[in-house]
Parts: sequence; structure tokens; C-alpha cells
Amino acid sequence: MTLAFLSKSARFACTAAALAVAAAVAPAPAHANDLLVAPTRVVLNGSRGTEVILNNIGTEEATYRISLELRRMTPDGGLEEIENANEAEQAALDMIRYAPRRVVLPPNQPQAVRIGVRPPQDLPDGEYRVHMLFRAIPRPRPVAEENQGPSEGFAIRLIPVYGVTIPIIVRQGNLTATAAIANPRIVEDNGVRAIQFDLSRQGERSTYGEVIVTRPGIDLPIARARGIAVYTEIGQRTVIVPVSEEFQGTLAGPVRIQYREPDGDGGGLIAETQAVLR
Amino acid sequence: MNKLFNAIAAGSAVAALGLGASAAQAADATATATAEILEQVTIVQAADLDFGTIVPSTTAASTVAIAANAAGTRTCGAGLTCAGTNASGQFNVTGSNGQTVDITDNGSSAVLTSGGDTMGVAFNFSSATLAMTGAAVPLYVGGTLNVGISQPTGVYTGTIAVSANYQ
Repeated sequence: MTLAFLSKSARFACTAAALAVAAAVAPAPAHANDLLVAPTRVVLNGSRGTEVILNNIGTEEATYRISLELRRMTPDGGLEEIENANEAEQAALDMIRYAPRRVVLPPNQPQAVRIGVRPPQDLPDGEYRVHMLFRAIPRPRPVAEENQGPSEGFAIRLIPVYGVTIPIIVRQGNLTATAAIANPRIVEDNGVRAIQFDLSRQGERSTYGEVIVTRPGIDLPIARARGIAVYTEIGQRTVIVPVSEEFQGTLAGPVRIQYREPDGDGGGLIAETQAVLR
Repeated sequence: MNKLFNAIAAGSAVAALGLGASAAQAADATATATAEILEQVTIVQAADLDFGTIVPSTTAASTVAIAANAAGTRTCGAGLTCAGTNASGQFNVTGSNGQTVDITDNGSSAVLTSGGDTMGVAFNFSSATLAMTGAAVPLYVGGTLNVGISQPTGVYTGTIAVSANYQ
């Protein structure tokens, strides 16, 4: 249903009569572009490929487009959209093969997207990365829709286009990296306290893992965050780890902060520090 | 591994991949099946951003803003008349507990157009980073409309583009 994308998000009216009309025709929202992607990160070593599952979890058939995008990490750990590729990013775009690039899926229909890599022979050792974007293509609006607004006022139609990106990382050669944690501190945002620290990285590849904050004498971690990366384009970023309600009032005190590889990669310790939070 | 099943944790999708020479064809009667549970992410739209009904001013340009939070509070600029229901937009992002997801604006409209008429708009999100809990985590979308003097009638269209980025 096309109305799904064409939310009547605002109506302008010049007269009181038009106001009444506008209020009466608000369509019930239905959302047909919903999607699921798994896994949420791909690392390719050598020429072996892999697959990622895309599933239509919406209520209607949808056309999804799969594209490669560039993102660079910002000092606060965000990912920023990049228009102009540098040399390494261009190399990554050129060597990653995938199919299909466009797929029509009925509701609850999964589709495997095959991903492979064909590195050029003279590719320098290093880590190459792109972000694969999965999102639905909004359907064109039927002509009748154009005239649906109140005759004396006007409407705003906002088309939501939303999707998910996952990193696709290619590692060429034998790469190493180390990381270090520094300057742990308590930060507060909207009255909710969290633990923040600086995470630095050295080496030819990115680091990725889980942050676990523990307190001597307490079994369970007082805070943890998974999926924390430091990508090769930056040497240092900040990390904010949310703290559960239980420890909000008693955050100050001694802590041990660990940065560990995911369990699937061995769970090895990447960096560790002990500090007293104030 | 002869046979690989990728099962998605929510159970909403199961796909058999890489069916090569399966173990069932081997001479002995043992069959090997492995299941790999993949971490997943979903994004669904839960609510439309709704500015409500606005009557433009005939004397001055002004703005209408919807806050990027659950309440979606509307701030109606001087000279405008705002009526009707209003709401912030909402997307729900679901991922494995503890995962961190960055939110980026992936090319939203800065200008809404209706034929030759335009109206400036800026969208903003409730958070640049979402901490996943295993359940749906809301991302609210707010925005500011720049309404011109006697803004002409028409159907103004534009795009809200958001992507949830895994690190």
C-alpha cells in the first residue's frame, strides 16, 4: 500500500473549514519497508566469501536495494557519511563483489546476499572497509494521491527511507593492532550517568570488541557495551558505556575496565585498566 | 562443514546455505548438522512525524518545530496558528543486548517541494547512538519547518532518510 510511505505529516490550511477537513482524513499508518539483517558485521580474510541474510519483516512486499557506502569514524565513535573516497576506500569499493543488488521480497521472505572479495594482485597489506547499506525503495505515489490534500490548504508528505548498514572488512596480510584505555570518568546526560573513557589504537588494523566494567567485590559487571570498534582511520575515540539503574547512585569508586574481543574471535583481552571513578 | 544452517535468533527466518556434498550422502549413517546463530538487527517504522495542522502567517515567516522525543512537543512560531494532533516520528531498532548502533542521517531533504514552491525543513534525531537491549529501542525524529509568509498551498514532499549503522 503506497500510503504507507506517504505519511500525511503536516497539513496547512487557510480557513477553519479546511482545518476540519484536514483533521478528518489522516490515514492509519502502515509500514512496509521494515527489514532484518544478519549478521551485523563481516570480516573477510583471504578470498573466501560469505553471505548475509536480508529479511522482509514488514507486512507487504517490498523492493530492497543493497549498496556499498563509505563511513568514517568520528572522535566520539559515530560514523559519518563520506562522499569522496580516498585511495584505500576506493580500493575497498573496487574489490568487494556482491549479489543481488536489488531484490523484491514478500513479507517474511529471507534472501541471502552473497559477498565475495577479489583483491588485485598488487594490493598493499592493510585493512579495507566499506559499509553495506540495506534499505527499501519507496514506491512511486499513484497520481490520485497528488490531489488528496484539502482543497483550500496544503499537505506535507514525508517519505521515510530507512535502513541498516553493516561493516564489510577485508584484511590483507598479517595485521596487528593494540589498544589502550585512558582517562575513565563519569558523565551525565539528561540525568542519566554513564562511564566514559578514551580508547586509543595502534597498528594496521581496527580493533573490535566488548567493554566490561567491573568493581572489586561485585560479581556482575556494573556496565558493559558490545560492538565497540576503533577503525583504522582514527587513532583514538571516546567510548560511553551505559550504566544500569542499580549502580546509578554508587558509580564513584574503584573499577576495572576491560576491552575484549568477541567470544566468537576467542574473547581475548585487548586492553585493560584499573581506575577510581570520581 | 558440509551443511551450514544459518538460523536467525528471532526465529523469523531460517535459510539453509552452502548445501554442498551433504553428510547424508556419505557411506556411513552419521549426519552432521550445525546451526550458527547470527546476530541480527531490525529496523521498523513505528510512527510518522506529524506537524499537525498549521495556518501560515500573512505577515511574517516563522517556524514550527516538533521535538525529537517521545512526547513530540510542538513549538508553534509567532504568527502561525497550529492545530490538530502532532507527533514525533519513531523508528524502532532491535539488536542483540549490549550492542551499539550509530544513527546517521542518510540524505534527508533540506527542502520540501510542491511544484515550484519550496519550504525549508531540518530533521533531528533523539540520539546519535543507541544502546541495544534485545528489545525494540526507539529512535525519535523531530523537525523544524520554515513556513514562509502566506506559504502557497500544495502538497509538499520530502524524504526522511535514516540509517542504523553497526560498527
